[in-house]
Amino acid sequence: MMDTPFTVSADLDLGTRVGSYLRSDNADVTISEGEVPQTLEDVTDRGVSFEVNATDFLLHLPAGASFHVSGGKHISYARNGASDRDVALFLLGSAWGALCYQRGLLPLHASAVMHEGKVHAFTGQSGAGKSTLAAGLSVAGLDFFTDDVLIIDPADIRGSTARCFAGQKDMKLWEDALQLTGVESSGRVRDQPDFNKHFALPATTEEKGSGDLVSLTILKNENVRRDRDPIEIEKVRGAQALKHLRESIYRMRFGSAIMGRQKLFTALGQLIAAVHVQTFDRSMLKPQFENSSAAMRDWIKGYGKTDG
Amino acid sequence: MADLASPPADAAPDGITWLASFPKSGNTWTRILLSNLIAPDGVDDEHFASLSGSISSNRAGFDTITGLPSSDLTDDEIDLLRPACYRENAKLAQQRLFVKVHDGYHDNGNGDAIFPGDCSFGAIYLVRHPFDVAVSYANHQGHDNFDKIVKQMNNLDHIMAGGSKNQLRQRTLGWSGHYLSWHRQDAIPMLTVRYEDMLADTAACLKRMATFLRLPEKDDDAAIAHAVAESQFEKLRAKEDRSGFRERPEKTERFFRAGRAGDGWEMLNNEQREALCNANRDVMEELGYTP
Repeated sequence: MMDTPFTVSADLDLGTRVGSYLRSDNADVTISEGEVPQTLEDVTDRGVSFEVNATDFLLHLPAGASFHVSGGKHISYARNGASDRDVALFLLGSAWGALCYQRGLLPLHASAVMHEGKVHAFTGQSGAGKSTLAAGLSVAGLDFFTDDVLIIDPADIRGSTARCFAGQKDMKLWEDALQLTGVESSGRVRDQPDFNKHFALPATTEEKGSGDLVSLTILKNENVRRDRDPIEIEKVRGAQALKHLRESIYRMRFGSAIMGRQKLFTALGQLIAAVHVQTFDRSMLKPQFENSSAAMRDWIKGYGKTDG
Repeated sequence: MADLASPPADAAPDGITWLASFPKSGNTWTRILLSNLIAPDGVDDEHFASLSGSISSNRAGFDTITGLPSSDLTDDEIDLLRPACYRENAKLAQQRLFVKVHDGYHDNGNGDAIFPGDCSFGAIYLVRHPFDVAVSYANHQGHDNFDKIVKQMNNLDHIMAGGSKNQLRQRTLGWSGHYLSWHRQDAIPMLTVRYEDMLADTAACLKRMATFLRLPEKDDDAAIAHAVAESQFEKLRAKEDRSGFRERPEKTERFFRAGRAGDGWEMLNNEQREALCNANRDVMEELGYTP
């Protein structure tokens, strides 16, 4: 069985993040430097930095690279002065998300760990602590599975099983998160000076690129402001789960524009029916990190034994 | 304080209303007052305010609108996109937007104003005596190191958040710089309201805001009185004690701390007060703020 949802050949160094996707030839998707149009014809949706039509997606970064994703099969990029590192970063982010949608896949904004062959994912808004928690759990002995993007194939959600794929095998952590978790940097994310975000590969990285997703945890930080127990894990179902998880769709506007909202939400509904969805409310103060990570580690280790 | 200008008669009602202030100057209170006036049904034990619109530094909102990961962009790159992001916000809004702003008024590094006039209805500018701001801002940061706060308030390069923080970078330009930047711009009509005047006559200030914003409730004295009563400090504090307040920083014991004027004279020492006066004298005099 394939360990990635598609394969890729590229004319630039994409690092180790998507190593298992790479092929020297006969890949599903080709990535090459080339001309990127300023605009698309017959645009069906347009945002601050992107345009979409029936087959194509166009992205222009502020003072940086541009990407043209077409038919789920090809990505052209124009550097516009950007370095390989910066091109690769956004290629494997927003452009990658658009590529997934064009190929009928559902990318979630999530990081994940693997335990006893099952994938447990964490999602939440930007800054919610997804990567930091996954890093902390990997230091605590669970296997790191993916950072930032978790890819679901809606055609492969069956009953209580949802097959998922790792989007990125390198973590991206801010300097303070490196210090907090003890994970070591393997290089800076950007070539911009003073941009203190780093790639990191935890020691306990799971080599597998796919697995069965069994739980999706939505990260919150509210109880502490309400003088309630700061660590609370609460199962959510149905419409409530859908409300929480819609914000976890990776580049939601791209997804709506490319796949259509109905298809997108149908896939999300299928996913919610198949996996355990819960919220995890906890303090985000650094001294509390060990406690809250331990609570999640214990929950994952106990999954399937007393819950779920 | 007088209006700097009024929105033109044909101002787009769907333009953004900016609630602009240096931090801890009555911005949240104003939002609650306007919520209780315009949309009281959305206020309950869990929700203090019900207006549409968030804060200008909302990272998740930026990511959603642009489709780009702000956490992979530099703060300067984010600024380049912010004007277009707010225009898009205004375009997509289904209700009138009220957006909190702690940024000073400045450009995005490419010659465009961060807050574009063409997607704005107007701005309510809230200002508070810097001595009291210092005390409240220290509490907000979870400490009582007033020397540190005074330095931040006097620093033209003072920024909030950005980088790894869960809010986008906000260049406040310091206390005076903030006030001057907003009052020197002429792209967005603005009403300036002093926190101290809000304390002295809340209803009158709310009526001025409602008139400036052309709210249908501007002549409804009963609705204004009700909004004022529902937004009384004691009531908000009791509600926070009962249900908590989502915007309270984790390091702070409570968001609704004192709600009064004058703490700065008691809690800051002579050197701290003098430092604030020396750096902000002109604006303090303009606003009638005595040392």
